[in-house]
Amino acid sequence: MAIISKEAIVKGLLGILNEDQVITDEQVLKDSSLDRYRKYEQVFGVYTQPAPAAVIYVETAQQVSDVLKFCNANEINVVPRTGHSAIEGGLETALEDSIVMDGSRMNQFTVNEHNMQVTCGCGVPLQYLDDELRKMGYTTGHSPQSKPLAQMGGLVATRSIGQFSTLYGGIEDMIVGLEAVFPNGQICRIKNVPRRSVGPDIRHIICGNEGALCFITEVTVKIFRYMPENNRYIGYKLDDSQMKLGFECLREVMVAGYKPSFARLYDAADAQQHFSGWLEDDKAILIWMCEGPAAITEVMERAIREMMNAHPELEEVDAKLIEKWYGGLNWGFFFIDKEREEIYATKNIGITTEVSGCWDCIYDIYKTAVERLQAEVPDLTMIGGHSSHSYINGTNMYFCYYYNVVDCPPEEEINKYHNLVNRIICEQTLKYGGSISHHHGLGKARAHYVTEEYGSSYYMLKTLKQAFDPNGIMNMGTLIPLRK
Amino acid sequence: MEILGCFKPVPDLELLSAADWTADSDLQVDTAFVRTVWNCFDESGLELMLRAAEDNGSVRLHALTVGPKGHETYLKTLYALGFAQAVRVNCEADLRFCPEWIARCVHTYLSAHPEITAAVLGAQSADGSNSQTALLLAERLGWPCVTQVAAFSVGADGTMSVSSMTDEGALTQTITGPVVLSVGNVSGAYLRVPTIKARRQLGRQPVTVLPCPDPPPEGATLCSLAAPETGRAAVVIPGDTLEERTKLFYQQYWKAWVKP
Amino acid sequence: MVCNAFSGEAQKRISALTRLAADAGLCPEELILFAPSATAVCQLNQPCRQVRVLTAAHYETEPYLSALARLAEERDEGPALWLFDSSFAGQELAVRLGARMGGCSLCGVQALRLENGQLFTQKMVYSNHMLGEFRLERSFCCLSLAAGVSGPLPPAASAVFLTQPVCCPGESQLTPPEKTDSLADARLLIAVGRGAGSKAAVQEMEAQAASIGVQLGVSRQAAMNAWAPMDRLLGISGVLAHPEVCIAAGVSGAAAFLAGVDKSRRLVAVNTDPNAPICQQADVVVEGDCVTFLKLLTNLISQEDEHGTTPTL
Repeated sequence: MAIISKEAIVKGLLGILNEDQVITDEQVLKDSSLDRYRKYEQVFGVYTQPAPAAVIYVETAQQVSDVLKFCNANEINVVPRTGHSAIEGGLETALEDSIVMDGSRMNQFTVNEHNMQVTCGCGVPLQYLDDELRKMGYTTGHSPQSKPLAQMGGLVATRSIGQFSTLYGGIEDMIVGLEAVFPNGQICRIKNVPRRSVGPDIRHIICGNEGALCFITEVTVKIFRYMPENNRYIGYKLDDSQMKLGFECLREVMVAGYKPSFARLYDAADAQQHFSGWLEDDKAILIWMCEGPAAITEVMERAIREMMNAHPELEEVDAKLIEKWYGGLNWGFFFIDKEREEIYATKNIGITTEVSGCWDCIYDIYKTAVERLQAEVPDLTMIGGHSSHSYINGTNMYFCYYYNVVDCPPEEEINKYHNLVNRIICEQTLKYGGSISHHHGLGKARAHYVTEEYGSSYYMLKTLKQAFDPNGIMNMGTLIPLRK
Repeated sequence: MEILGCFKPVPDLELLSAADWTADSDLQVDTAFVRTVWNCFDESGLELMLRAAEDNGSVRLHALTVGPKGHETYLKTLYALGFAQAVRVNCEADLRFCPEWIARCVHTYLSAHPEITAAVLGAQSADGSNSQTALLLAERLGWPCVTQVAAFSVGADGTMSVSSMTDEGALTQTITGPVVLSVGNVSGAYLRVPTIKARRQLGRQPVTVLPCPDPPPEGATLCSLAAPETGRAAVVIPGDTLEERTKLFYQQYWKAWVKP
Repeated sequence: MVCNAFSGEAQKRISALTRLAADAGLCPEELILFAPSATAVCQLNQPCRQVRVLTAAHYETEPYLSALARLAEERDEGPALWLFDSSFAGQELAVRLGARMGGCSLCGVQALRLENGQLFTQKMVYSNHMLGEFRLERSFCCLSLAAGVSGPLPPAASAVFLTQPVCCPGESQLTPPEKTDSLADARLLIAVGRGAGSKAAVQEMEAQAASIGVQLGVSRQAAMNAWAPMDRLLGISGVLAHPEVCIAAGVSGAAAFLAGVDKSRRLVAVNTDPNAPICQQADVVVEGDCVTFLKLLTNLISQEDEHGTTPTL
């Protein structure tokens, strides 16, 4: 907790930054106290987290350094932010008189075509970056559902992953060099090289730190040639009771050595959110998209279809339907996500929790979690899920669920429902040896599982935190829960 | 009191991009690939029915849709929400511009169920946009029709209090006899969501499937369908910042268009 | 031609109906008006030789429908075309009269033409995304006009006035609409959508807009979020405006909304997404956050406008 008053905090910030960089508007402060984790509370205008003392818009790494030094000296909690699209509470101001440090004004980028790299300020919006790259014939290959909102700093801080990761990898595979500022004001720059062996890969202290160790000011990522004209789409439907086979089919393609950019398995309940126009309500669906040079996509499509046609339980669907659906995918997210007014009127809300596991446990995680959720969560109106990121050794599972909030004031929804669902999913995941977060981050929502998730390796995380943030000013409550 | 709610699942047109708005030689717009949703006015009507039933326990609800088997998912949802009877009039035909046919289907059902004394329909559908079905139904039945309905309730004496928008203002009237209600814009009337348990307990009742009566000749036949021409230049104001762009817009356009 | 003159929009409606008929080369014989009295409407410009005023204290559907049906029956058999205005009354009467007389009807008609004795009409379908042309199949046709179609003032013609009372017995409560600046008449309009982000932002934008003589309307998304009252709703299910200038601020441009503003003489799209559909439908596109844009524009205008006069056209 800060050792100086809120007024002194604001005064100190104004001594470092310009007036237009320091925001103390009440509504802005309230909106900045949370992220999409507390969606329901926000719809009802309830704000349970302490409002920050200020939201600041930093414009240079030096400003970040000066502000962090000031905060470090005065034990002021700092929440780093760029796109404000986080969904696990990572942006909540858990302590009184925190400040939210927003990097969205650091939004310049430079493309180096010869090196196939682009260097971005932390505030570069991904949608804008990718659209501009596409005009040049390139793409970042990174397409998380938050793309319309997210910015590069946050995407690296959360170890985000995009829809085409099975080909391009997650953000951790895309980053080259980085620059970040640590609580003592130290500005650290890691240079751009394709690979090196000069000790442990220190980029991974920064990538995934969720703002608990440093503030990311600049990232360089690889770019790829953009060849959408070669895209091929494949879809197969199967009975919902055949989900285990579905996972085996995903594995089959990966083990055979193919890397479609897009590989998904939706169970029937989740599939209906997208495909109700043509898919029967008791059918699950497998979807692949092949991306890249024409020779590769053609062969990949043929090979995948040959593998799938060997399964009598599968029935191919018209690829055109998949292609058209895919075209609307990112905008679709914002339409499927319910309007606030609809949440307000129906008191029905949809949330997601996603986990990962090796092939031998992922189905058990999925099956037992769904069973427990149906049995133990009150007022559940929908539970389903899909796998969307596959590897040679396993995949993720993205649970989607909706519930009615019944006889429950907005500020208690999180405990009665949301955290209960999270707990059940995390318990089942840990029981079978999976990871409780594939790409959403631990945030504050699941930080209390950190020791179970890490086991004996928790020592390494804890030591990093103690080393880089000895005064406890970086996004407290994230990664490592606050002790009461 | 027994009330019939009629509804239509429609493709979620918001998910179509500008390029998708073209018609083929059969005068069809390809919407097969998007998900379906409740037609918004119908959805409001169904929610208003549920509210009326909540307030008056003697109100019994029926639902009817005309269409293919895929529509039964919606009827099952209504069963899970407590509707007493859910009916699908089986029809695979293109019903976009067939309000007279739909009115005949509903009329046939109501004739067989004289205990139903109110029919609730949405003002128009997202695709056909005819705005006629409720009115044509009223004419067939010889019932009055209140349009632009925003709310209704059923009193203990079995009369309906109906609020609607008219050209002269908001109207509230008490209706004693049978009536057709055409539901317009109702703020906050989204259909509530049934729990999985309710779906298991109630949502598995069989849907009543009825044959479709022969189509009457429609009064109007679609001859052509196309996206309308626009004709605006879509000039993008240049500038590196919003401040620059706004200034340029103000100086080059606003001042010329809006003279003090 | 049938026009509901109870709610004060009568001249506009008559002008629009006249234009619809004239464009098809048709000359209407009679204008039927609903009004409290003949004196209330005798000053209106209209092209017909005969004006029949059906009078009552206020409009009620069933009595007026019956009155029209009787009039229709009294006429000779043979093709008949009845044009109704775009009011709620006009829409419902057109459909019901058409059905009652064994004829046909269409709502929301924008244009019509006669070809080889067949009547063709154009109207928007698919929530205002597509224009459809329909052939009318029966000889008794009732068409209601699309809202937003306008027409020039017809020359004043001398006409015979007939008055006929209609008995409206209903005891119902009518609450006249709250007096708001009519959005439909606004000459400068800002249409705000989801991009504004919050109710507070919309309220602030409304105040800023008012300071520069601009009225504020909202898209369905914003209205359904209760960021502004429903009577500010623009679009096919709300107000159809035809301002001189409309700024579509933070609106994606769904067609159902666009219908509310696409008759604007000038349409400006302000949006953070240059690929939003509205941008192709606008005359001018400003990329950026709409809330900031309005603040900047208001500042620029008030800086220049030292005398504080409200801009007009």
